[in-house]
Amino acid sequence: MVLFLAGTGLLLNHSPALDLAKKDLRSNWLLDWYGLKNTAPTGIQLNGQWLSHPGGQNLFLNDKPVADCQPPLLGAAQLATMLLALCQDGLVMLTADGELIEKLSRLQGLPEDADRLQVAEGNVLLGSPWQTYTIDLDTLELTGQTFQEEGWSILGPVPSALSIQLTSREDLPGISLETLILDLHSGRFFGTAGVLFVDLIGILLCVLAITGLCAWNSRRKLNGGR
Amino acid sequence: MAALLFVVTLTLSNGTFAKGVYQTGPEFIAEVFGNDTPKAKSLLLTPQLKETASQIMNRQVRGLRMRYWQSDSNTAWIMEEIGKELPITIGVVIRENQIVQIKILAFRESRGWEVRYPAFTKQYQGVKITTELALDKHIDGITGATLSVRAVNKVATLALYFHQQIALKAEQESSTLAPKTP
Repeated sequence: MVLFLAGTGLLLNHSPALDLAKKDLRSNWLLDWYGLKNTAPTGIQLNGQWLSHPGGQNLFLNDKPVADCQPPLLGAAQLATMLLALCQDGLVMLTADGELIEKLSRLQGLPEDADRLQVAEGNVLLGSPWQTYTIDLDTLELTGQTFQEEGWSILGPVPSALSIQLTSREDLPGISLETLILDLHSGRFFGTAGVLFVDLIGILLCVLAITGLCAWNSRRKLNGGR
Repeated sequence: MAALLFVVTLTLSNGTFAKGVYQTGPEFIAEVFGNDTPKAKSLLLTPQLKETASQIMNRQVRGLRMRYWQSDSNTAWIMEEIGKELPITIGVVIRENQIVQIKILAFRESRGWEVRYPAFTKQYQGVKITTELALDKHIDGITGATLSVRAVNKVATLALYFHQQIALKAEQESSTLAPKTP
């Protein structure tokens, strides 16, 4: 156990040099253990093409990654010459064939609470559970609108063939080797029981060190201080 | 008590409370332009502009347009660049091809947040871009924030380059529109 703790500690100490944080593990049982089992990608069909998000960092048009997009994908819609996708971190604008035009982040003025998207009569509407806005994509001007309850884009499961293609990609989130080693080192991998066990080992090592010192000291006294 | 102070100091020094969103884009633009906040405009990124931008950023620049705000000869830009792993949101204000102000609007990583301090950002005041697409003044780095400093330098250079392109375009347009003397 001591050797195991020392070994994992050494690995953690050299994690940046060994690039452990960038080595992702994706075995099913491990993802299950961490509660990260890959879910089926959701998306929407626009103009015969699927705009979807399998859960990693990328938005996909069919099987092609087209833009950075923090999950979840909240909505998607289509203008005459543009595809729009509302991600957690911003609004992605694409050409009809998936070339990135621009991404507007929430810091650039997208409403913080916007979690839905629709295009109605050529206007781009963003909505929250309380408010609806129209956004002018040229000037970024936001105008308050009559509250809309309906018409928002709804995402659904993508066709199974595409789903298989998307979920087999390597850019999906996994567990980094650094996280796994850290959790094994601290016992967190096995939950509270694991943490308490490692605590116990730590305390035991301290007790052994102190009693060892005491024993050495008393023997030294018995031997006349030699 | 000493132990408590030690823990508090350690917590504060690792940047737990230093990262975050310091100012939103609209707040930054309102601060720069006051009551006359202009509407956002877009710079069309031609293949040539994208190539030069990619050279400045040392990575592929994606997108077909770049958002900016302009009033007279002032332009303001809000750009994001990754320091180590997460993007830093940076606001840049330029007048007559010189940086007037740089402000870190959001910093998301746990190290390198010192670039937000005015003591660092004021170094950029008056800085221009050279013909070799570099800043014309040396920017002193910060120990432990090398990658963040590098990201701010790249954004400053790119904003200067884009501003220069807008100024050039405006010059060309005004010379075309100017009445020809007989």
